[in-house]
Order: sequence, then structure tokens, then C-alpha cells
Amino acid sequence: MDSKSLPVVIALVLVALVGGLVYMQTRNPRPLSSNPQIVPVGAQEDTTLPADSTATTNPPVVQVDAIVQ
Amino acid sequence: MQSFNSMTDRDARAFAPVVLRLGLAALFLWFGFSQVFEPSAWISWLPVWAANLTWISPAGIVLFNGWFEVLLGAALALGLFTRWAALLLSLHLFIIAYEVGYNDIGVRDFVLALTTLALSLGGPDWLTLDRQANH
Repeated sequence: MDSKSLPVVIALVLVALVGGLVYMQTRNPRPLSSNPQIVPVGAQEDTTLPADSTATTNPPVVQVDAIVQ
Repeated sequence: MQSFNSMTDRDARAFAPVVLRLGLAALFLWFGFSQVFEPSAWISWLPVWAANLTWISPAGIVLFNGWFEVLLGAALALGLFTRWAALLLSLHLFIIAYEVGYNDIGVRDFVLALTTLALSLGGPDWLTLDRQANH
């Protein structure tokens, strides 16, 4: 290959690769799971408690008498 | 053994500016193409002063910015007007880093701007059209 055409070939391959990659991602958008800053819509954690959750959320009862004795 | 070490060191050094230039070219091409293909996804990054600067719509400004980065990124990849392309992209990134402010993304952009400035100061390497044209 002519050494003068090498920079052009490298640039064409780079532009085609990056452009193709971005184009494919634009056509088929997916959240980047590796980035914790991006949270998909509707994927927020549900923090509401279920109706019958009072038994599990009460603090344990401490038997003071038992500790004193 | 000494000559072998110095030979590989010299060969590795020759590729350092090439890797730097092509890596930064890929960076600007990625962000440029992303804005060109989907301008609406980037409008939230547009500063208010930039949106009010002209009669052009925010999506239009993002599109213009995207083509700016694609063209200058391609110039970097070709090694065409390497010094000027890198200098313009560096100033562009300094403005972005200033707008983003002091946070993880702002610090990253600031250092990338410095890296691009270093590329401009270093000038065209042996695998650029600039250098080929002078020989």
C-alpha cells in the first residue's frame, strides 16, 4: 500500500467504525448498564411498604427486666 | 540486548502521538455522531445562554455542534490541519468543562481538553496527511 494513502485508509476505517457503532446504537437504544448514573425510566426502586408489613418493620422488643437480672 | 531495548523503545515512542491522535479523534467522532443522529437526546446539555444566542432552535444548535465535532474529529483522524483542529477542539472542550462545572464529568472534560491541547502543541505525527504533504 502507498504510504501516502495509509492515513486516509486509517481515518476512513475509524470514521466508519465509530459512525456505524453510534448509528446502530441510535437505531436500537439500550441503557448503558455499566453506568450507575443512568437509571432506565420505570426502574426506580419501589420503596412503599406492603400492607401487611408492620410485623416485619417493628423493632425487636428488649426485655429490660431480663437484662437487669 | 541494549540495542534491542533502545530499538523497541524508539518504535513504541513513534506510535505514542499516533495513538493519542486517533484516540481523541474517536472520542470527538463518537460524541459528534451521537449528536448528529439523535439531537433531541443532547438538548439538556445545552446551556441556556447558548440556546438564546441565535434564532436557531436548540436541536439545530446541537446538530451544528455535532457536525463541528464530526468534521474536526475526521480532520484529526486524517491528520489534516492537525494543530488547528486540535486547538479548536481543545478550546471547545474547555468551554464545555467550564459549563459542566466542578464535578466528575467536568473534571474529566477538563483533562480531555488539556490532552487535546497537548496534541495541538505536539503537532502532526509521522502518520498524518500534514506530514505526508510536506515530504
